[in-house]
Amino acid sequence: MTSILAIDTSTEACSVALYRDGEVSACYEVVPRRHNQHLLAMLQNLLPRGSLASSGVEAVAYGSGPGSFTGLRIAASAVQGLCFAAALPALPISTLACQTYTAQRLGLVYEGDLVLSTLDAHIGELYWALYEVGRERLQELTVAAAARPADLVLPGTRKMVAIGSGLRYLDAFSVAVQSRFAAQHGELLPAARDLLPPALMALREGKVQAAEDVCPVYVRDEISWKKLSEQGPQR
Amino acid sequence: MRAFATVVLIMLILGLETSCDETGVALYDTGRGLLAHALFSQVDIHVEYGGVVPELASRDHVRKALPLLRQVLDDAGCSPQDLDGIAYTAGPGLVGALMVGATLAQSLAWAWGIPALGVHHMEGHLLAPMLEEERPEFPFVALLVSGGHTQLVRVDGIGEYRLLGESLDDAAGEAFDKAAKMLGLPYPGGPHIARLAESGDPGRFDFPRPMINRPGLDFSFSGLKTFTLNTVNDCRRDSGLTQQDKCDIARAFEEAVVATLVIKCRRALEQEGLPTLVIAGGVSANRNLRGRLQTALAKIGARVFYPAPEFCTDNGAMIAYAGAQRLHAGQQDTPTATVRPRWPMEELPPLAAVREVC
Repeated sequence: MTSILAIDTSTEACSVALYRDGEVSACYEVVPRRHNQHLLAMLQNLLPRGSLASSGVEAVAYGSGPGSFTGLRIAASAVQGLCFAAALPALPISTLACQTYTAQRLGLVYEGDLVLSTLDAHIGELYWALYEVGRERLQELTVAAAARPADLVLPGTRKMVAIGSGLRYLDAFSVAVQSRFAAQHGELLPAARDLLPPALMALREGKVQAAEDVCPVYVRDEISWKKLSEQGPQR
Repeated sequence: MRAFATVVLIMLILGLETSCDETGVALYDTGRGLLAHALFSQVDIHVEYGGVVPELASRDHVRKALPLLRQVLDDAGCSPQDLDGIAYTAGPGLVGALMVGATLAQSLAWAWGIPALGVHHMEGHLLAPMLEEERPEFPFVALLVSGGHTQLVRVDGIGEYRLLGESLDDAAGEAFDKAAKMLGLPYPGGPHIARLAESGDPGRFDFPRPMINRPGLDFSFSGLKTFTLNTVNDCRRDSGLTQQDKCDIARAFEEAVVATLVIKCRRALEQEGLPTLVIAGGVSANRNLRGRLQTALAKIGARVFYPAPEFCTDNGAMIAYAGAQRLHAGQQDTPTATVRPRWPMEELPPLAAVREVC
């Protein structure tokens, strides 16, 4: 029997899912800035307190990023705690890939489609990555990156389906980029249950992390804080 | 979940502190005392920014918390099955940093099936002297003095706090940091100012003692900050701010802060009619402050207690201790407990009331 627990708190949505031999139970709520108040209650709906180690769960998958920095840390800290406490491996999954699986589950994209998966990075930027939907799995065509909408450049010439909250900047994309979109789904958010298909493959292939190695993939690593040498005279 | 409210006398509590720029983890046993503690200070990360960068602090807590947890379990020779509860700092502090410790603590506690409790950071500081062999008896007056706080509190028991006075502007530690920055000294400023002050001439500058002539127990350090800046600028104009200038300014600054704190502490003890003072928080590590308090309080027949130097600054041991007292009384988090970046200490429930309910 295979069983995986999955957590995503990378966006305004907070979601958890439990996979047991083909059966999925899941909780999903949009709770901006209140993830930490809902996460445990949601887990409690799937498993009784204190039962993770004896529940048969083999690994914990999480949306590792990109996304809200605080949100990513909530998932990472929770997964660190769960994996450490129950001696389980963790499975880091890209939130942009997760969202593409969400689109596939909802019938918005199909095998053979090219998908631009985006998330609003706030401060006028978006996160994005390009995927091709394969028969078994997604193929990642570009590495997740942050960009200002006007600077977004897409490789190739094929039409694609654009998804995710980064599309709120649609009007700021170049005409060349906009002309590539066959369809747009800006209302989409990643859900933890869609971490499960890539997590199952990762577990089979042994692409696991120890609890101590669980860490968000921020993508944006520079911060807008001035070093002393860049600060003005002291007042 | 184990039923502990009635029968468990001894509890082993894990403490997690992540409210600012230090990751602290400790194990406290209500029978045997502190078993192990570990700390990672992020000073080297923030020093080039001249202060704590919240996003960098949060990121580093994520990397450090679990390795420190493993270390204290190993050091204490404990296994996770021995734990009876987890205490974490729920506030006040940097929201993103608090969130890391809170989420880790709550998920560990959930998976292990033991209670978790969010602890007030300043209550942790205030009770840190209880980790020592010689402990103060309730009631006492506490001076909480750190980079974020300058408060005088009357303490009648755990959770029985009355604010007597506090800083109306900068915290004392913050004033140290800002003065250090004016003198070109690295963050955090306290230890650097104290080191320079040792070579300073006490007779050269006389800095104002803010608010000592005003009745009451409030503090203000912003005027002292301005006075320091003006003196720095005068010296720079006259002689280019020599090393001796810096030492003399550091001396005068430290003297002014220490004298103000000492006068207010003495006044608080007299007002409350109590013979015991507790000082805690980062600034309580200042040797000049400790020496001067001891002398001044001896004159009125009062005694001062302070934590060991490693427990003056932020640490996991004080959180484990404070949490252990409350968890032992039966208090624990509700399912939707969250962090409190701003959290008045007077909102904490008295331990006696907790015992009645649980």
